[in-house]
Amino acid sequence: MIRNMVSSMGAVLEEKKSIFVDLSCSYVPVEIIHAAGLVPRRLLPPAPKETGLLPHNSCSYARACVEHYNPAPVVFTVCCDGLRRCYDVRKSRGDNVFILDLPRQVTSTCIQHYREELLRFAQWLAVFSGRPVCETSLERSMALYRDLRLRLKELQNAGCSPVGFNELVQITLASAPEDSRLLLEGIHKTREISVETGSVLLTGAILPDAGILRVLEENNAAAVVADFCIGDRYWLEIEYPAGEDRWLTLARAYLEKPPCPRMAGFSRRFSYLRGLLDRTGAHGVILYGVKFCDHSLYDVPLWRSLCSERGIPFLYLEGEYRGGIPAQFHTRIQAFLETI
Amino acid sequence: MSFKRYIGPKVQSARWQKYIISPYPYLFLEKVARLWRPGKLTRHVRISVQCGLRLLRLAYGRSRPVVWTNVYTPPELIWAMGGIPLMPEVIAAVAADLGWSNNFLQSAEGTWYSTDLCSFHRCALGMAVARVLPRPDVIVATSHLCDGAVKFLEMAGRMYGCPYYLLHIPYRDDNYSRSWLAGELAALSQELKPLLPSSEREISLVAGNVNSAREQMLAVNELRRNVPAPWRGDEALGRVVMFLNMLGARETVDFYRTLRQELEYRVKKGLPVAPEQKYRLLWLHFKPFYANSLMDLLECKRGGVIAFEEVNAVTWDRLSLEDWWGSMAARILTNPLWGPGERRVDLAMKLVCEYKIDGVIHFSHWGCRQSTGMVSLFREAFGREKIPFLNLEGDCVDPRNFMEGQSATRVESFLEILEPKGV
Repeated sequence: MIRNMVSSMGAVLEEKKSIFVDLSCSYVPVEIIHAAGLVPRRLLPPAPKETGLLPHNSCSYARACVEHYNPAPVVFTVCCDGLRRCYDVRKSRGDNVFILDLPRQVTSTCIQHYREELLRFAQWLAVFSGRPVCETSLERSMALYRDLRLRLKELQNAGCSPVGFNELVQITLASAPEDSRLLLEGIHKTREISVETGSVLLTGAILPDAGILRVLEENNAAAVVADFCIGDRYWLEIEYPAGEDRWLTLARAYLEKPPCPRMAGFSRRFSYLRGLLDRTGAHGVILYGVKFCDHSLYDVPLWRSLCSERGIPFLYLEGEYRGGIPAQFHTRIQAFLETI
Repeated sequence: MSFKRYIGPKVQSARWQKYIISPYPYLFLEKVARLWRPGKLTRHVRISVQCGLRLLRLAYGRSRPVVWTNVYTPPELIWAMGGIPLMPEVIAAVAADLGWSNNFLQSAEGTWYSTDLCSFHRCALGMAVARVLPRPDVIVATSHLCDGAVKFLEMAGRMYGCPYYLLHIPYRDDNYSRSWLAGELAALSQELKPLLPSSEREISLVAGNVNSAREQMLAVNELRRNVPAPWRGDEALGRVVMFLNMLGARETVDFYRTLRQELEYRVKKGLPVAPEQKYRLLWLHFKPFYANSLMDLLECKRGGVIAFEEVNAVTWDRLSLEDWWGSMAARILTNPLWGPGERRVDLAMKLVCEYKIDGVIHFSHWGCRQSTGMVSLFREAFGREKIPFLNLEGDCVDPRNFMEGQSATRVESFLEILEPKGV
């Protein structure tokens, strides 16, 4: 049912002739794009083909983004070397691209720096939207997204199955917030409750292939949290503090959101991960990374130490972006679930 | 048997590792180096060896606070604060040169660091695991150039339980970014003051050294435009440590001054550094640092010469005492390896013209996403100008990841392509 909604939602947006802006990172504030009268959409291209634009030892998500042609403008951040080079290649090709300088730390000066970047970003958007972003429109967009996040959180807390919830997240990543809100209102009444025996914390930078959620389900287990930048981390837990300049609020809100593996500060990330384990009571952790993602690779020893400290089983899987779930993964996941 | 080949296998034993982490062997070797009487054209080698030994003696002796940083963090920043800058990536290259990298790479892999990570960082992590690196008092990382360095240094900070500071480097080079970064540098210096109390005198001394070394480097680079080339690229890539880790120290000025005098002599007397120089090449990124025959094949047997390397380009202005932090910020932000990729392409194109280059080789170091990610841009830019370009895949530090025969075949084929353009 949810899949049908995705395609119908796409058709509605095409009909409305919305101008999409694709974004490659969850740290790009969607509120600004919406306030400029555009529709933010997460850049989720199909699996990459070998074109030689990026070397074979680049992560497959970056390779997919560089090869994917779409007339929509694209916003990159300096989140990783692969996507920086993806921006360079697409820029040299004449695509309409922008890059946001994203600090790794949460300090007052870095927040201030990110604020300046957001202002620059808004100016770039205004060039082709023809609508400068003002505080009022920004405020309106923030209220809309706040509502959307709340609804998603309610759905998750109400026991929506991980597979279904992930599909919902994918819809919201690709649609205008007004349409997503309407959709979520309908879903709320027909929610699915899953019954699982093993609860697993699924984590990583970007989710390589959502098929893993189904594999877990088939094995009577469930990902209590899909801690990915196109999963739970995308929407949840962004707070807008009141009473300050809205640009600063956005810069702060995004830099302070649950840290992805790229962000600096082990203590901050560790306390977030510990909090996840405590909150969800997960029985095991699966770190699912895209091959050649340095951020995920440096997370392996950390997760290992954290899990051994807690006596929780840990599994590291390395896949390709939209590369499917190889048979080997089924065996490894089954063996892993037996240890829980 | 060379000293390197003799000492290489021995370092695996714990007994030898005990000597590596003591300052006394370096003191002894420094004294031995003083007795060495190099030839008229190799005095700069002695200075660089003495300089490296002195750095290790100071770092292992802990006479001053040891500050770990990443490559392209200006070392003068740390020298001016009275600390000893130590770049584990540079030490990894030295370990590879001495034939020690395999052990350390395996140590890192045994503690769950993937073989897909950059081997500079993996080797340094292995050295950190084996506790053979000088213990850091503080770690200062800068966010530019690559993701791996930031993560690796943060990991090392956790391993050693020492303070870790990360300096965000803005992506764009404009007035706003320069002034913001200057503020960050000044704030960092304030924060480090209890450990590293910098003084006006020290800053002035270091700034003077950097500016003098810069003048000498410019003169050296100017001499390298000469045909035939007066310096081999293989050696120039090996001595890059002087600029990366030692800039700001007095010895760096001596090194570049001596080198300049030697190159002047070569140019004046018409003494080519390689026997037959048919093709002038530009080298992008670093070279394989472990023992290999590729560089000799290229420069001594097949008529090529690396006329210049991008890593030796001087792209920054003089440091100013009046605006120390501002000029330091400008030095960091003018690095063409950071920021939009077109800056690096522009630099390479400029070097091709200035050094009368016949062909360009990019050494694609396994695990380096930021440099290898530029290959398609280089290929396109050089293709437009009809400049032959070779992307040579390999590894700078991990010899297990380098196919020597295959690389040699590719280099030979590339030089055949250059044949009609030979000078």
